Amino acid sequence: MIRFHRVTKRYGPHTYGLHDVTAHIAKGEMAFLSGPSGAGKTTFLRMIYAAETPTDGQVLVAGRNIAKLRESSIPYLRRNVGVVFQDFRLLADRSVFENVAMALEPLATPRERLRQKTMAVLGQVGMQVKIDEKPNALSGGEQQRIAIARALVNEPAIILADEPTGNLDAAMSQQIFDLLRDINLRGATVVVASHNDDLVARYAQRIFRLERGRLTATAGEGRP
Amino acid sequence: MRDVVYGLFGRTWRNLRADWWANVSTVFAVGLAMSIPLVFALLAWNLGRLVDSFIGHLEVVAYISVDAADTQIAAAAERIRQMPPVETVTVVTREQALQRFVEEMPDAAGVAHELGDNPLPPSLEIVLRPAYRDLPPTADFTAQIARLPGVVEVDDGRQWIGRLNRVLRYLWMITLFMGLFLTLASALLVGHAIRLAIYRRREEIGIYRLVGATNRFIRGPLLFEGFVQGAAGAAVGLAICGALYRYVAHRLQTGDSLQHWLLGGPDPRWFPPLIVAAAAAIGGLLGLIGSFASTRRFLRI
Repeated sequence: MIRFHRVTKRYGPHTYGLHDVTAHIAKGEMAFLSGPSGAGKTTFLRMIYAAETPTDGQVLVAGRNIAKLRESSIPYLRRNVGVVFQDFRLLADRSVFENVAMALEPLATPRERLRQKTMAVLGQVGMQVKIDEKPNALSGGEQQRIAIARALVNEPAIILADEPTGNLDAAMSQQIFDLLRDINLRGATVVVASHNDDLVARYAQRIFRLERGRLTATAGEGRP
Repeated sequence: MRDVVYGLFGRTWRNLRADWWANVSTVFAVGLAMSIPLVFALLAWNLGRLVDSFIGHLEVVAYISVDAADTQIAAAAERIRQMPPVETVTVVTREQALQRFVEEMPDAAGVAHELGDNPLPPSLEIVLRPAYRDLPPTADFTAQIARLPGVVEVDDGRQWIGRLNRVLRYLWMITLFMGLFLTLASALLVGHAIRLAIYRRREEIGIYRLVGATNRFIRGPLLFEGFVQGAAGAAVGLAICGALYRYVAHRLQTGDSLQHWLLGGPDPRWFPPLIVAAAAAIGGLLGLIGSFASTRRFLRI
């Protein structure tokens, strides 16, 4: 599903985001990127949704080479990739429902279908009762659930989560990881960047350890 | 397709409502900018109608010596009738001239009676054929009339028409230049407003990008918003111009007015509906151009 082949991302003559990284994440796998801040976890994820292109090497997502993707094709790739961030990135002036439904707007989803899908995914993350609330009225964990719902509502094949529990306490973090595992069990390929090694060890099928842009270790077996 | 159109309208309406103060300010700024060339265009158009009306009533008047005999006047009239530009010649006797003077200027009638003797000369009122009315007067034509026995002065109304036409040309030129500058300024205003909208909505745009929105999807509402701002601005400009027009038209229709002084010229008129529609469409187009330029420059997808 996701293949990195000798991928290097250079930001300056001696500044590397990633350095000669080769990795493969199979369809339906739940993989974790671990490592300290600045290790290249975010760069790794950004390449999967074509926010960055490699300086050298190849990134293949569902068989498509990111570097060769035309600009006009990027949105279609992103419809198959849901992304969750540490800072949730919810719009404060919109309700929970609207925040989630906005992911369906670019697909010109008919109104009734949009409502059904949004309600279904909000039910999936346990937030159906708060559809009219504004994000600021919710806890951090609830906001992250909304962000996950928004990433899920398009039913993408890949879910990326960049430090999804970075702003949450331990109990909330566990709930979010449980949710991500459930999503993975329903068939999505999930890639999570986290520096919370305890949680990573508890949930991971595969762990890619990054340090200063280099892949220093790979642990676990990928699901076929 | 219906869902795409509904979505576009829905998002545009949501954006317009969310930034309503900024949008209203832009619409009024565009309206003020557009009202100036519109006012000048209305003025020039009405002045053109006035000139056309003058041309319709244009006369060349040949004043005859007070001592001229009736036969001499009749001979002069007959000679003038033979000239190619001339359609009709009307003889105005001294008595008729005095009667007109008293009728047209009743306040000064007493002065005429005090003078005792009628001081007004007889004249020949020459109406030109339509083809000659808006041509500049030729020295040859007036000189021919002036040389006729008994003629003491020739007043060719076309000299005034020529001057008015020159004024009219300048007015249209000013209108055109101002129109160009101010419409450009309107497009820049809308472009700037859209740039600010992009900045204000950068978070929303970022999320849309993330969930797979195409360039067209993100640009669509911004372009439509620019169109709405431009068209609404043109409507405000037309409203300002219309209010001024109503005020001036009201003043002209009442009492001691410029209208009467202007030799009973035509009533001022408002733009025909086609021009109003064109002004609104031009406003919309300018808004579209401004927002297109801004989205091209500042919206990096």
